[in-house]
Amino acid sequence: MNLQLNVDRQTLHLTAADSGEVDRDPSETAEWTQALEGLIEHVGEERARFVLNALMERAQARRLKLPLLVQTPYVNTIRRSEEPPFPGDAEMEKRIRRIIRWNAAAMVLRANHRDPGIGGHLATYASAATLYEVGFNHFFRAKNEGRAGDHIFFQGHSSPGIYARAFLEGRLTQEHLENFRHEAGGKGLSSYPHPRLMPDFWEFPTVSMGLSPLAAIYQARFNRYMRDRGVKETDDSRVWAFVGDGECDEPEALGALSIAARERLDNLIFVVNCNLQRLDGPVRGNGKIIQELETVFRGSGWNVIKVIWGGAWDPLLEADAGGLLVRRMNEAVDGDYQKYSVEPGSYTRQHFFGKYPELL
Amino acid sequence: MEHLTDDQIRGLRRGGHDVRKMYAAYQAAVENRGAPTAILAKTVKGWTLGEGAEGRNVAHQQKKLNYEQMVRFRDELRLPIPDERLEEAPFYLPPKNDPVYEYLHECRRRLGGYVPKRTVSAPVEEIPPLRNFGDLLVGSGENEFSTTRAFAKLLADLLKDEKFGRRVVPIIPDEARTFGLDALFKRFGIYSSVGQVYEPVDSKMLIMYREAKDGQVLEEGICEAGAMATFSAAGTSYATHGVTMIPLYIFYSMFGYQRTGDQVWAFGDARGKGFLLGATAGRTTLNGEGLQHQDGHSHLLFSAVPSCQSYDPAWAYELAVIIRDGLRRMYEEGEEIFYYITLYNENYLMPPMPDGVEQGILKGLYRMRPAPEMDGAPRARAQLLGSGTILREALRAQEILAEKYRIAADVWSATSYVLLRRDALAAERWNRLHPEEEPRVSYVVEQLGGTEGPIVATSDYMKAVPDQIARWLPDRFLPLGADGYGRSDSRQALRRHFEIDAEHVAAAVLHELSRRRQVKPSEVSSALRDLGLDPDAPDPGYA
Repeated sequence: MNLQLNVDRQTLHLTAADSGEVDRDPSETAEWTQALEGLIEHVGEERARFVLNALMERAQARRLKLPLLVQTPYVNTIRRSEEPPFPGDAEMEKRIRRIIRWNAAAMVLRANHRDPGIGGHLATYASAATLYEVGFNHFFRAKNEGRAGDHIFFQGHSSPGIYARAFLEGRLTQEHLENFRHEAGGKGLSSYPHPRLMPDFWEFPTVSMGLSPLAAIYQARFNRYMRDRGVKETDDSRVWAFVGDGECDEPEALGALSIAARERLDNLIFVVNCNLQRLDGPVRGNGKIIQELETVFRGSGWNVIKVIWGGAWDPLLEADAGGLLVRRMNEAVDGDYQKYSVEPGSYTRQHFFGKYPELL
Repeated sequence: MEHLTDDQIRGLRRGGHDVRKMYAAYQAAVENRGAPTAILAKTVKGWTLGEGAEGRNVAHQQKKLNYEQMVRFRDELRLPIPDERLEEAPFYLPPKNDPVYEYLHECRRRLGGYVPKRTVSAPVEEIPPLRNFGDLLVGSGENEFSTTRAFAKLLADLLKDEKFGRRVVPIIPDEARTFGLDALFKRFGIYSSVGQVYEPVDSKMLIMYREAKDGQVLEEGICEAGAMATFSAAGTSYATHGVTMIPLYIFYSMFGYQRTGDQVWAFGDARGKGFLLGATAGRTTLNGEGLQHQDGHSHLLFSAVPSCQSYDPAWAYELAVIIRDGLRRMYEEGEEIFYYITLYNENYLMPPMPDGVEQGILKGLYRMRPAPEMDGAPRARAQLLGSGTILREALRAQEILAEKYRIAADVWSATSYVLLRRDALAAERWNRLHPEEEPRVSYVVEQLGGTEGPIVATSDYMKAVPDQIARWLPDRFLPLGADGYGRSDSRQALRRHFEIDAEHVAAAVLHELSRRRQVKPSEVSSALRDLGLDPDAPDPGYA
């Protein structure tokens, strides 16, 4: 039976179990899997990868129809054992995030108290604070003498958090924050990133959904053009694009991915904030947006790093020798995960873990 | 899971809220070589905002929290904000000696400073004088060519400029041959990050498809969105890189804005600078391609973008004056504006530049050819405005009116209605707010206000384009234009169909004079017959 034809349309998941094929000779299957396990165990991952690649090449030469290997299980790409030590002061950074979280929310609340209906968004930055703060404390390079600096496309709706950080840094005053979305007097902060309105602060307008991922790809390529033509050295400069998962529904957002891969733009990093929600409801209630995006990015030739589970899950995953927990993670859809995020732990215990009594 | 309490289960976080996991992902991303990286981070929308927002479908619109929610939010963040102040949601800064400041500033010091931050540090450019574009100013002699050809010549000159030629960025979405720009390929090369690993099929030809790692031309394939994104990167480089790059992006005028209008708007927002060239312009000048290609409205679309200066030039010298001044304003004066200029593919003789017209070209209107001398006094006078290729129809109408009807008509080249309008609006605003001062007179009124007779405008664009100045010329202004869906036919037939040709211009002048009782209606009827115009032809606006 052709595996590709049995791809689960909702999750595009590609395990043999999901394919609907019946294992006609389990002991033979076990021999093959044990051989692989032995190879990994005794000779190492690198050799195992080499042998598997060789087998796949042979299978393709024999015209065996193999599944598209563009999707991995619903777990973190980087294993705990591969994580580098964290160089920062985690407690200090937590305090910084908390202060910024508070001021970002206060800015929106105060603006709406003063002027009901002026609008603003609390939830986007609240979901993305860690994504930004790790960047601010450890990665985002500024332009200064002799350094090209990074080009950062901040997600438009997260602007309150970016202002709140600049406030803590002393770059914006309380008066600025009081005038969030009150710009007519000339001292306000713009609703979203607008260089036209804040020419000393924002570099890139990003709030029209889908345009900033497109712009970021071409920015990264243009930086290479500058280097290759000898106009400017840009090798130590990176382009960061903070993108929403719902935003990826815009054709512009994903339409130029193949160009970035073709041009080998390793100076480009997309950070897709997969909070699973768009304005009206779930991005993919019946499927999994992270899995879908993984296939699109990997299929286009991108390096994909999934960051799905926090550290508290690591011991559970490491104890999951039979792979049942990963199986359950693969099965549940985003609509389920959203529900787990709002319900008490007892709900998750019953509905997520409880599906398989062995997980309880 | 038995060893975990319900609260512990609820505390099993998603990866995007784990600083160590995110650090590991970013570190892996910056170390990755040979491919771009996408980090897919799972988070909870509204994280830490508490029940009612966290993960709820309404989270995106959430902009208020009640008192209980504020208490929980404060407790979650462990901030020392007293209960009685919670309702006002006060801003919070830790005391000055709090170690968070030192930590945060030290992190930024290591990374070179603060972000986001926009700075403009690119040096002022020295723009070559207009005489450097001499070829375009002296007229074409016996040779006919188009404004697109004139642009190709001008672009080549810019690329060869010793001072900034290297920083000129020609951008073309797979139409270089259509626009006659393929000669750039060999001389300046098409940018390719890997050079050219094959022998091009036309390598022995004079004009070959040459790709090179230091190629200057960005040939973007059939992708206006990509070309516009490159234009944005180049056009904001003066701020994002501190290096002025001068992008000139040439496209099919029908597609440039229509396909990527939102990017054009964002470009204006980003204070982008550069030249957008709408080639194969005009609903009747690009005549064989039909409804989807023939542009009669891009000037209206671009008129909506405040920092865009739009021009519809007819002659090579007008183009040279406009581009030279654009270079001066953007790169010498540092104005954060950009240009949209239409280019046509109709070949005709280019006249030499008359004296003293530069300011008029730039402001949007100048008298190009005064009415011819005639024996005795004319019966009446009129003013004809023409833009782009259709200016030539106005010139032909001038002859018809003089020869057949003894009407003396001046012909004006209207290079930019939108700029005339902006200037008139500015004068109007100033007068509105300064009631006791000497009123300001707009440029368009200064030029046309004192002239005599009806004013008839014709162009290859919709009537709404010239109509932009109608309000300041009350009861004198009649626009003709290419309203309605385009179609394929000869240029002559299309100009008759859209009623923008010389005969329709002449008839429109007679009609206006009859309204003023300077001509009898019966004379207009016989003129319609003489000029071969069918009063019962279908209205092109609805055809």
